[in-house]
Amino acid sequence: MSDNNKNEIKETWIDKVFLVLGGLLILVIFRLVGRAFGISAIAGLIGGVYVYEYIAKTRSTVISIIVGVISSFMITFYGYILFTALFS
Amino acid sequence: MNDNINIKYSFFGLWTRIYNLTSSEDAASLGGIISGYLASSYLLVLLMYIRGTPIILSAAESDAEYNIVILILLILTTLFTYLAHRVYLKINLTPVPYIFGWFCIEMIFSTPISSPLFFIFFKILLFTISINSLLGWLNIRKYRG
Repeated sequence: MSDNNKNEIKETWIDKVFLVLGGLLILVIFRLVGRAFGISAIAGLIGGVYVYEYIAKTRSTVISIIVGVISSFMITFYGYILFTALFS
Repeated sequence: MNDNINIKYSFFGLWTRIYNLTSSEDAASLGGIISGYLASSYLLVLLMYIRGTPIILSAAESDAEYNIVILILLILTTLFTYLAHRVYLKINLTPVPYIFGWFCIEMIFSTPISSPLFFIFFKILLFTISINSLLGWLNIRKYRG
């Protein structure tokens, strides 16, 4: 087996179940908190994780967590403001 | 003394230790995080002002005032985004004391209207990081001789 085949990601039935559960979770979040806040919160979570990973390359874990949490909160809040300003 | 030279951080990673030129540059470049926070807070004030529910500022009484406030907030957001990029990537560490002073002023004025649990907690942590960056900047001059 070559190195390329080792790194190949195979989709199993567990991945499909998680995909469906994730989609249902997003629908539940949207139903509970509304479309604008739901989209913003998901964008904030993803953005916060990306910022955390970027900062953690060169900085300590505590500083990365602080910056990640603050940026996640900020992205959620900005997204909510933008959505409500644009579509309401 | 030299036994601890490989420990880069103390206080669970919150404080970057300063013992040579590289470590002081690392500490000083934390000012980029503070500058990024300032830029995002000005962006928040700008967005709330455009939305019609201003925080800190009062509502504009004329079109000229509205435009000038938006212009000033845009300039501040752009300036601090630019400084965050320059300082975090260590392109130029000169603005660190300027960022520290501005952050202190901003913190004093905005703390009374902040949410007490979340924001004041994070502001104290950011204040610690900003002191660390100022000490790093001062030690750069010392180690360069």
